Amino acid sequence: MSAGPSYPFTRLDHTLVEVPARARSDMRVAARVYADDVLWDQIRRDRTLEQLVNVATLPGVVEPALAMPDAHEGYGFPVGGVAAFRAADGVISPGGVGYDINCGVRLLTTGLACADVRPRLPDLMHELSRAVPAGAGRGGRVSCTPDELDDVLANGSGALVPRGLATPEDLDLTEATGRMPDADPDAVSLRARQRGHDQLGTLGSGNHFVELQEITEIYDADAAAAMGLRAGDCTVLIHSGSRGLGHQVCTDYVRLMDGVMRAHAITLPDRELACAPFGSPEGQRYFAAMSAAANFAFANRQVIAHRARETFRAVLGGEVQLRLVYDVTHNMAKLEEHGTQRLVVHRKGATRAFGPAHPETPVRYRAVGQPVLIPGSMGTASYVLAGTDDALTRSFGSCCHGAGRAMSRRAARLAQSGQEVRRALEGRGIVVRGAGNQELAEEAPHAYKDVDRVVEVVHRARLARKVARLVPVGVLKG
Amino acid sequence: MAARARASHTFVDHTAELGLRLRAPSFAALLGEAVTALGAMLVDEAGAAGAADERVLELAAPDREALLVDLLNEILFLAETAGWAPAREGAVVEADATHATVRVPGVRLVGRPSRIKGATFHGLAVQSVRGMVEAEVILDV
Repeated sequence: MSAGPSYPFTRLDHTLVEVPARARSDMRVAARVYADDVLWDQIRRDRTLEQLVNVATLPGVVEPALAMPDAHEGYGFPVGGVAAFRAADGVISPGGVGYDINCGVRLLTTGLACADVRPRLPDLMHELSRAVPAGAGRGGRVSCTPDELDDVLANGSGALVPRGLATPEDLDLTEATGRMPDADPDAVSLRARQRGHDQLGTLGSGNHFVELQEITEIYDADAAAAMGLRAGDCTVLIHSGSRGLGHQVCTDYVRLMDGVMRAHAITLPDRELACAPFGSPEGQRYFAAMSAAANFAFANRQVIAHRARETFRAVLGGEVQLRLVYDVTHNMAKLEEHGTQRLVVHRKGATRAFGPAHPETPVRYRAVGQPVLIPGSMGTASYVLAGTDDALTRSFGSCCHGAGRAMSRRAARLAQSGQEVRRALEGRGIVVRGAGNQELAEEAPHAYKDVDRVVEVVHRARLARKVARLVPVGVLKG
Repeated sequence: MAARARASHTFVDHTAELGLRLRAPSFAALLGEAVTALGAMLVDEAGAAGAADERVLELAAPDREALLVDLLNEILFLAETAGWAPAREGAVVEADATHATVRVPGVRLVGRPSRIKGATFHGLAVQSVRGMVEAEVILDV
């Protein structure tokens, strides 16, 4: 990886840096990065800033274009990027959402002390690895007929309730109740359907995982109580997305928009930012297809959660109840009201972080703010935060989505072999399943930024506040 | 007599994704090298179970960059839906700036690869440099 151009900047406070709109002649708005000095230095080592400045040139962008403290170089938008566009005259960009539409995480409590789970941990992880296909694995999927797939694309997790794979409570505790209302299955191509029809309930590859974790610290007792989090308890964290169906939707619409930008008089600094006015036929059709792919992703995580419930009951006994804390998306464009403005907020590798006052915060969390789930790397910690009302004015109601990569995959492999990573994790009592040595090496903890520092910046910047810290005890890696 | 330049590829560091740098004596050869590189990655991930049918991929796009991206995405689609990947050798490519016909012997995959999500246009330019054609594609991992 190589550093991009340097830009003038001003540190606004101990968590926020601004690149002014005059930094490059084509910028329409300033760019801001939430970072302390250490993270700011890391972010400037690759092309993150250049990509963020590119985003600040797009039509209809609202001040400022943002990067979260876990930001790193992506393609088109940086990962960890947040950009809002006026619905009336701004654009929507498939590259601003990414190939894994509605990649996200969901957290479940088990109600069990981790000390009681540990003796059965190898059995649990073995059975989980059989129940949830990971990487190139093929078994265990839920196949859909064309009509069933249409139902999932239109209704998301709600389509799974009649099939016994979801409960009404699950829907209440999923962002957007697990259903993007603007979804139109007809906007999803046959190719995307071919890729997705047998992929419900699969993890995929890369940084996707199912982790069993132990809650080691509680920072906010009231919020933790509202979320059902108790120190010492075992939780399940699921990270996956829309699989091949979502990838194909992105592929299809990047190409579509690439072909119509001239007609819309849009010029770009990077072709992967291909976009169209939100109100145009192409913009509306992408929004409908993206929403359908997002519904597929909600349903995918729901099926994986169902498999986790079955596995816990099979291994530990029928009375175990895995309850959903929340499910958040971190690759999405959403139509939202911010003050008097109607905006299309793109979050690519960023999580929504709505506070207690926001009407979309689930009723159960109206006193504390929505749960914000921040997965770390497999050997470090994950965090549960609570969204704040401040975030609405500071970051369009957004927050980081993880630790953020700091090292390329090749560099990670050179730093430590997969076998060494596996031994180190197992030496700390973490049971690892699923991943080959290459994947383990590429996703090793040292390849990521310091998640504690990233979360501390978010907390100090008042984008979200710390509720609980969780450490992995079992990892099923995609 | 100078040796004829051969097509080659290398992988380039990127913080999260994977860069595929291609170099070949012609655009058609560059497409062939892209097929070889991606095929090897797919077989490496999902395993090979033997030979599969030859496929003929017909592509039309507005320019060379879009042809390259379309070709890679077509192969990813076939790998995921049909368990098919290009064999290591034997691709025959005819191409101009807006059309390509790629005839490729195949390999049957054991699993369904999911590591590479898509080929992107990010920073992509197919360029002629000192008698060779070069390009660097960022693949979403």
